[in-house]
Amino acid sequence: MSDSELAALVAARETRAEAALFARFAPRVELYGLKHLRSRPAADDLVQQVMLIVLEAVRAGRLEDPNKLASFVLGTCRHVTWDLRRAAQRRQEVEREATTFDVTVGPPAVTDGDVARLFQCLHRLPERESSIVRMSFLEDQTAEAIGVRLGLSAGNVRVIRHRALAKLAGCMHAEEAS
Amino acid sequence: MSCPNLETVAAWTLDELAPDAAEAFEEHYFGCDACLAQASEMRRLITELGAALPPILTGERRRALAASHPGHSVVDVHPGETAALTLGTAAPVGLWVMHAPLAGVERVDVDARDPSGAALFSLKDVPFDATRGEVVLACQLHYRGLTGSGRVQVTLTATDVRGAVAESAYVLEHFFESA
Repeated sequence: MSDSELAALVAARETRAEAALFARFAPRVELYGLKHLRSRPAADDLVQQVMLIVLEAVRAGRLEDPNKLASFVLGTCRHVTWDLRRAAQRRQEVEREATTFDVTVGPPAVTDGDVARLFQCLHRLPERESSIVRMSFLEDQTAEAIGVRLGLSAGNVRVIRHRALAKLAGCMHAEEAS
Repeated sequence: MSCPNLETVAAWTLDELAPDAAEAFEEHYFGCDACLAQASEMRRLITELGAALPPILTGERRRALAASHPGHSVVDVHPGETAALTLGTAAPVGLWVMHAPLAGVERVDVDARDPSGAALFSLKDVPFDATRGEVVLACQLHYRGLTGSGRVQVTLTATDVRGAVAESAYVLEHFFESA
């Protein structure tokens, strides 16, 4: 179903269409929130607020061009993210607490298979790529610090890291399917 | 915009894409199911990496582990020794503290092999504590399929600031209690 058909059905108060609208856009908003707000509760907040605004606008027929439903959701996402960031900044200014180390390590909710797959794929990467992934994500080092250790610029470390993650994702996907 | 490659998706996820390229990707994935799936998988992978128990622990990760898994087993082992660690559902994580002379050392590499000499893993330039002379190797129940017989021969290769190389070898025996 196209975005404009979906918008028309929501405007006609088809409840199944509202569920479909949520199913189509909530994961996109969630991903946007995780990237821009860097926290799960904040991303959940964003999903609630954005989907409510979108639903009300579409129901009321306030969407200027129903073909641009996706752009409307993204635009709403950007506005609400900006508001949430401002609110978080204000909260931080008030609280100003000492930072605590809150990385949880240890066996998370994973299976033997997940861990084995991850480490096998990591070891299949060329040595420099594997080291950069390990230093970045398992040893929490910045691109600058890794660059100093390996004799590379920080920008170069980032580029190699992107390439390594792409290969790792490809390997994980292939292993999962096999 | 057509579907970008996975490297661009990784850069976007890490917030390392130029702002205009990031916005273009966002406009694209809001209308593309395939790219939404790829970006979701990339985020899952990065989250999994961040939550994974690293093979060699930094001081910070060791403190975090002590907070999240108080009472985990810690086995000290010195060069030339064989030591044993038992893991089970009640004690899913354990640490090997490998002691070695590390004063003045600039870099430590770790090589792990099974008793037949087949490589299990090899890690270059790992974290170490030069003052205490320690390299901390974490083991977890989830590794049980990776250690073969459970007997792992580990060699630490330490290179000091003048380029001198020293090796320390350990035999680490793992026992896994069935649930």
